[in-house]
This record gives sequence, C-alpha cells and structure tokens, in this order.
Amino acid sequence: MSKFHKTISRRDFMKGLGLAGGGIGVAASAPVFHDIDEFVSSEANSTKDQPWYVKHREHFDPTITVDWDIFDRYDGYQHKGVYEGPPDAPFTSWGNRLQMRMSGEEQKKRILAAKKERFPGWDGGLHGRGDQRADALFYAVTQPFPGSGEEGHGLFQPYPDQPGKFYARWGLYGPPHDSAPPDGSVPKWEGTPEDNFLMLRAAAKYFGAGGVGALNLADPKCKKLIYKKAQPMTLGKGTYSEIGGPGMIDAKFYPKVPDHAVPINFKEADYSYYNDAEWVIPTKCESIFTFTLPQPQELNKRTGGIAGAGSYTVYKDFARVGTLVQMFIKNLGYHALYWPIGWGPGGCFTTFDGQGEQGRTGAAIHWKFGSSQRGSDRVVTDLPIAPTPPIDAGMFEFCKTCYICRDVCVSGGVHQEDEPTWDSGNWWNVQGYLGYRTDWSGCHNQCGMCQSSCPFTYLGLENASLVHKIVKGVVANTTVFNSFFTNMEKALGYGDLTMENSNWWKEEGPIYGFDPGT
Amino acid sequence: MDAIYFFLTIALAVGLTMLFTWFKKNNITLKWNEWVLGILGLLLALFAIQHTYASATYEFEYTSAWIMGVIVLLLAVVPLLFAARSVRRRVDK
Repeated sequence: MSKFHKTISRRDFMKGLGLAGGGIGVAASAPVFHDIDEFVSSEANSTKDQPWYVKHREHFDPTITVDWDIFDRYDGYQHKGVYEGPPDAPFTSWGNRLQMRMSGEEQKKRILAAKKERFPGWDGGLHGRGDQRADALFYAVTQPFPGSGEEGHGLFQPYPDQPGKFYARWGLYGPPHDSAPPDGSVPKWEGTPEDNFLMLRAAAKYFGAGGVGALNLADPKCKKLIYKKAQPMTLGKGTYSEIGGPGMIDAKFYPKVPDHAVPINFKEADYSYYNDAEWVIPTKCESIFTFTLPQPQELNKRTGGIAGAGSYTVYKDFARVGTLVQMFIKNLGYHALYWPIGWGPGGCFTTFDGQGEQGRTGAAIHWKFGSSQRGSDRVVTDLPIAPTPPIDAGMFEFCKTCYICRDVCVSGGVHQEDEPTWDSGNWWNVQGYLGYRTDWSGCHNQCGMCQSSCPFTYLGLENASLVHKIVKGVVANTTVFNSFFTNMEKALGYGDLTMENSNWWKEEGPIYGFDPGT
Repeated sequence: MDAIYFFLTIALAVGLTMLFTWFKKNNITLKWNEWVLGILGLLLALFAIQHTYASATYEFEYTSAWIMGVIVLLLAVVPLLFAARSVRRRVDK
C-alpha cells in the first residue's frame, strides 16, 4: 500500500492537537476586530498609539492624587520669562536658585566625583562628560538656545527692534561660543582621518543627516566643484537668503556681506574671510564633509497631495544640521566653514562623494533614498577626513533607458535626449561632463513628479518588498534587464501616489515623517 | 518584527518539522534535485508572501502586491509540484 495513505497514530494525533491548540491560544490572545473601522478605532490604534498594557484613566485623573480644592494656578516663578523667586525668596534669579546651597563649580566637582566613584577608571575629560568628542557634541546641541553662552552667543538671537522675532545666526564660522577653537584655547582633537570620518558620521546622523560623505579639497579636481564666485552667505544676488533673513550675518561678529558676488579663492591664510574683493578659503582646509537629507517618503511620493511639503521640508533642516555639524567640528579645535547649501551644486557633491549617482532628473539618485533626497550639503574644514569614493550602482546607466521621469515631467525640464550629453548649450548648466542636464528655464521646480516617479524611490525602505533589493542588485551588475525592469515598473503600477489610500493624517508617523525602515 | 512574519516563522517551523518527521517515519530520503526544487519553491513562496504584505502595508502599491504576489506564488508551486511528483514516483516503485 502506498505510504501516502497510512493512517496517523494516536500519539501523532495528540501531538498535532497540542500544536494546533497552542497556535489557537496565541491567536486568541490578540485583540479581535470585526471590521476595519473597529480595528482603526480600537485602543491599540487610539490617538495615543500605545501598547495594550498601558491603561487609560479618566481625564484629569492621573496616577497622582490631586486635591482640586487646594490645587491652584502656579505663580509662574521659574517659568517663561519670569525666572525669579517670590519677593521674600532668599535668591533673585533662576541661576542663583540653582546655586543656593552650592556654587556651580562645587556642583561640577561633586558630580564628577560621584561619576568616578560609580565608574572606576573612567576618564571624565575636561568638563566631566568624557573625551573631547563628548564635549563637542554637548556644546553643539546646547548652542541653539536663545541667548545661551556668554553675551548671548546662541544660535538664535532676537531682533533688537522686533520683539518676539528671532534670526538664525549661522555665519561663516558659526556663532561664537564657550569652547571656541580655533583660537588655541582648547587642545585639538587628534584622530586618524578614517576615525574622524566615522566620528563625523555618528554626529551628523545624530543631528539629522541621512547619508554622509567626504571629499579631498586638496585635490585640484575637487576645487573645481566649488563655485568660481558667490555672494557670501546668501542664495540670491544682492539679497540675503530667505532662510536667514536680513539679520543672517551678525554685524557684531562678522563683516558686512558685499552686495555682489566676489571670487572664491584658495589662499594661504589663518582664517577664512570675505570682503568686497574676494572670499578666501584657507588652503589648510583640505577636507569637505558632506551630508544628504532624505525627504519624508510618504509625503514626497504623493504628488497628488502634499508632496511639496515632503520635498521642501529638508531646506529648513539643512541650515540646522549643517550648523550643528559646523559647531561640532569647531568644538574639536578645527575650522568649519559652512554656508547653507552653498559652496557648489548639491547633486554634484553627491555624485562625487559616494552617496549616489547622477540621475536623469539632473539631481543625484541616492543608493538608499532614491531620488527622494536633497544634498549633499557641505562643510569645508581642516579636520583630516578620509574621503569617500564615488559609487557605481548601475543607476546612471539605468536612466539611459528608463525615461519615466521624462515622461511624467510637466514642463519638459527633465533631460529630453535619450542619451546623456556633453553639454546642453544653456549657460545655467555645468559643461564638461557626459551626463543629464535639467532645463532650468522650464522646470516648474515644485511639482516633484520626477523624484516621486523614479523607480529608485519607494516607500518603506528596509521594510519594503525584497523585489527592490533584488532589482537594485541586478541593475548594479548588468544592464541586460534594465528595460524589463522599467516595463515592470510601469505594468505593476509603481510611481507617484495620491493622498488616497493613506492614513497619514490618522496614523502616528515616524519622527520628522521619515521612515528609516529599520 | 511584524506579526505576520512571527506567525509565518512558527508555521514554517511546525510545518517543516511535521514534514520531515513524516519523511523519517516513512523512510523517505530526498535526492539532491528534490532538495533544490523544494528549497526553490519554498523561497519563492516566502518571497511572494513578503512582497504582497510589504507592498500593501508599507508601499501602498496594491497592484504590484497582488499581481506580482500571485504570479510568484504560481511560480513557487511549479518546483514544489515537480519535487513532490519525483518523490511520489520513487516511493511508489
């Protein structure tokens, strides 16, 4: 008799029953929903998005016991512009209160002593936080407080004549601050170029960067990526950029910005400087640290929606992340010259720093974020950093036969020729490379359809379907299947989306709207 | 880890255990080509499930989720059927 028809034994039957019972028990422990509406509105998906073991209480009935007959409005001391005690208090300000029992210096010593007792052998460094990198990080993130540091050296300063309004004081060297290299007052951080790159990567990602890279500015080829001339610290001729506003450069610490573009020159100098004649980058600044900012994918993909918000949001973050990186490098004892999205064309740096390749849209396609990213932004520095080489992941080649972004382009601004070209004949494009060029005279610059439609841009990243990784792996090694993949992209309905089928307004999304997929 | 992958892992572990226990009980040993076909079919089936779930859940790409999911699942059935037929022929002899 065929073995396929043998009857099962009692023992095996009971074993199977036990396994099935265990599975049912596990399934039964999950909440039961009768339909999607019930599922969406259940406790597990409430506005607080909390796990099942967090129980909710009645409003104004927290776990502390409140006697509402006694509980009353607080006087407001120590808060919001008051920062002083009641008239009969033995102190007059918030700072004095903190030091009522012990001076600030004594408190520091006591904390350091306690840490050393708890962690024998630990080196607290200069300020009791660890090595110089820890101090650099600490001072970088504490600078943004308005008026922080001596003489109000905080990143954001109030307009003297416009109460309640603040301007961002990023400057060529960033705002002055407590630990203020490169004046020699703090020993320089010493690390290998490779370790320095890893250190900057950790700091930059902590500040909000998505990808990082580095270039060797001492190389004459790298110098060609820097603009020939520019109006220092601005984006538009004769005007300050809308990012900083008219107070962007603090006249107390920096000279007035010339009202015209001046040549950017590389010269022997102690510091970078600009005047009406030129803008000098010291030749000792031999490194450029670069970073890209990924755009929140789920918004950026939805050109039938608020894709613009998903795209432009990173501009507010460039200056923030760049200034934090700048201050971090400065706190290590090195020069850090930063100018939001300045120095040269962004996609150009991404193409050379190993984060991506140029794509048909004219911008770079990032190996991880696809076309849904902006950058690279760049900080010029004399901190030795190991440069990162350009990559080949088959993306530039893929664009030769894809044409999807060109087909969806509303204005015709995307590179129209099938093949990349050596030049475009337009003064606004860089010549001298075989690649794709955007017709900036036509690009509407706000529709975002090219970025969103790019096959390399997809939601979910690491959580997405494995097919994307498989395709990327094949594309990186052979062009044979490129046309097939393009046709599948179209046939399977990939591309930009609308706000339909999105629970974006109802779901608790990831921080900053960006899902790293991890 | 998403819940579906958790339960899928359990189901896979239980299913494979039962299958190989049954093989052992019936003195069935697999040839190398049956191993290859079986593993290929299993990987394709898992890929189909992962693609359908991830495309629908994370990418909102429902067309791709279902069309490609069904196609890959059908592709998975082919090597599994071949493997099963090969084993059955040998055992029935």
